[in-house]
Amino acid sequence: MECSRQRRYRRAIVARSFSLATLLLLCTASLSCESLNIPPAPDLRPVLNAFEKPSAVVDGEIMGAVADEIAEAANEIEGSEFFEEILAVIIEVQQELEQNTNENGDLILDGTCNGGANDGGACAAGADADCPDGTCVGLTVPRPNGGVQVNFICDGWDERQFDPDYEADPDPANGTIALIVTLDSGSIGRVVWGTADNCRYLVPIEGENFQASYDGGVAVDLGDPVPLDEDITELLVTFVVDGIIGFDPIGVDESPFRINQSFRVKLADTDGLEILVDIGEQPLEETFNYFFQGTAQGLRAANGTFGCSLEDRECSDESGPLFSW
Amino acid sequence: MLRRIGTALLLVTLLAGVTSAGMGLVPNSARAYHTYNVRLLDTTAYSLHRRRVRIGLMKLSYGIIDQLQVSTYTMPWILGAIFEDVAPNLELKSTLYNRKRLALSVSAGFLEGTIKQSDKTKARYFLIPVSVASSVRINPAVSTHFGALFTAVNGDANGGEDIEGAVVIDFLQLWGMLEWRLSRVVAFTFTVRWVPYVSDVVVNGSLDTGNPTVDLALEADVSELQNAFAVIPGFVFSWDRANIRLGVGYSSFFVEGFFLVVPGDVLTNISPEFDVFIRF
Repeated sequence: MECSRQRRYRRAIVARSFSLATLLLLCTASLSCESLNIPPAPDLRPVLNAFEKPSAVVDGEIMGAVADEIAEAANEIEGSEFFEEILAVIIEVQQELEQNTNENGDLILDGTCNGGANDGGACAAGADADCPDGTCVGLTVPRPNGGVQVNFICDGWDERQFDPDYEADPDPANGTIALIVTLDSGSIGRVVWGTADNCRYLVPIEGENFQASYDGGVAVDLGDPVPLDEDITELLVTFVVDGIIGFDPIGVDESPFRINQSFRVKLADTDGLEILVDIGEQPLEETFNYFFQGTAQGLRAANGTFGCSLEDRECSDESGPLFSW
Repeated sequence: MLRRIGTALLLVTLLAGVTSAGMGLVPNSARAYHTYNVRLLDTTAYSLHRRRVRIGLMKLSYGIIDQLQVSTYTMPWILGAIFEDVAPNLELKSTLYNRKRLALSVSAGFLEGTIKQSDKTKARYFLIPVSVASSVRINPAVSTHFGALFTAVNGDANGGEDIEGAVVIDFLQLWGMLEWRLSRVVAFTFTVRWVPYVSDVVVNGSLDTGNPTVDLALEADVSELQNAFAVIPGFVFSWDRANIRLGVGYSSFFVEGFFLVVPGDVLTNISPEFDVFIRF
């Protein structure tokens, strides 16, 4: 009788121990409830609102105070084309993702042809999938959301980079661009942000290559989530930058230009640039937009939209000159 | 490939042979039939009694003590053999409480395997299924069974040119089953399975694109699996030694042994249930 009781007791102990082990496994399993570790995107809405609704009433006195700054910022932005370097990296990531995304919007990683003439061979799942009579299969991420950390080593100032036969090894000494691109159901999220660490690149102007660099933070608003097949160069893109532009177009050893500026460009429209001019005591308290479109210039402010000329130091509308400085 | 399939078929045949042979070779003391002591093990809170064995096409089980059963699913081994890498798996199930009309159980296990994606890439997966179940004997003929299964899946791929990283997904499955013993041989079962929760798939990896390098932290939308369900009427035939479980239902296919769910539209909404096994 006593022996039987002991046996039952031992069994009960084993059973209880097992249930404890089960609880432990549950805890272990809960560790796999992983979540994405993406830093939050900067909030660009105040800047976008400022672009859409200029709040400053602009007159000759105000323009007199800011005209030179506008001219210098425009020259540095347009001349250095550092925004092109940033957008080129985003476009490259977009193309890479598109190449690995099938017609359903699913990202296929490490694609391998299943069946067909290239059975077992590597493939990309996009429109150019090299799988005749087969299917490109791999680790499938359906309609992905999340983040992409991009690290780009800048091209540097070696002019051989423009030689199609020259294959340069990326050299970290040329600086880097680190960006975070978000994905929203397979599309690129509207905000891309990151930093450029003394990124060096060449700017070709009329057959000559000029040395340029950018060092600082950057945030980009693409307007809307961008499908992988959409042409980013056709989008009106808003930049918020805070850094130092190094650009020396005339061979004079100019000091680097400190820029803390928001502006809008469309890459396909090389003549277009819109700068947000902040004249309030508090950030974005009073703003207006100054735009360049080819040879035309102008401003959009709370008191209207006018054509202006920084060179002639005046603004006008259809009725004639409005104010000068 | 043909050789691998041949090997796999041989394994299946051998297992079926052993099972069939068992039906004839097991001594008369073997216990089967639907009796008070011999109850359905799958989708219930019951486990094998001490030193009892179940050998089946889908699952092998052994009763370590009255309250604790160890099992392994055969399909991961067999399919693993086909794909050149067996998938070890083990499940412990404990009937913690079995008094009067109520039985309660917990179970936990693991499944680990590798899928060779290409010559250079292997994707590894590791599953931890944990479940609880209850069974209520309403009367000698009718029982109800309810349970919940939480499955945590971890996977990683490496060796490829494009991806190195990890995948995580968790999901919860609930089930209920009505068991109606029509005779000591035939029991009718009606099973409902439902997936109320599926986490997004988290993929951490990297695309090796040269310059720029691209590191991914992605969530995949698998919401189509959420609320996946199956309604499966079936029968369990239990003779002196042999048992057959048969059922065909509607909607999603809950893959036994892999603890996964195949959406209904993949298999034209056919949800099968099948096993042949002996108990002794």
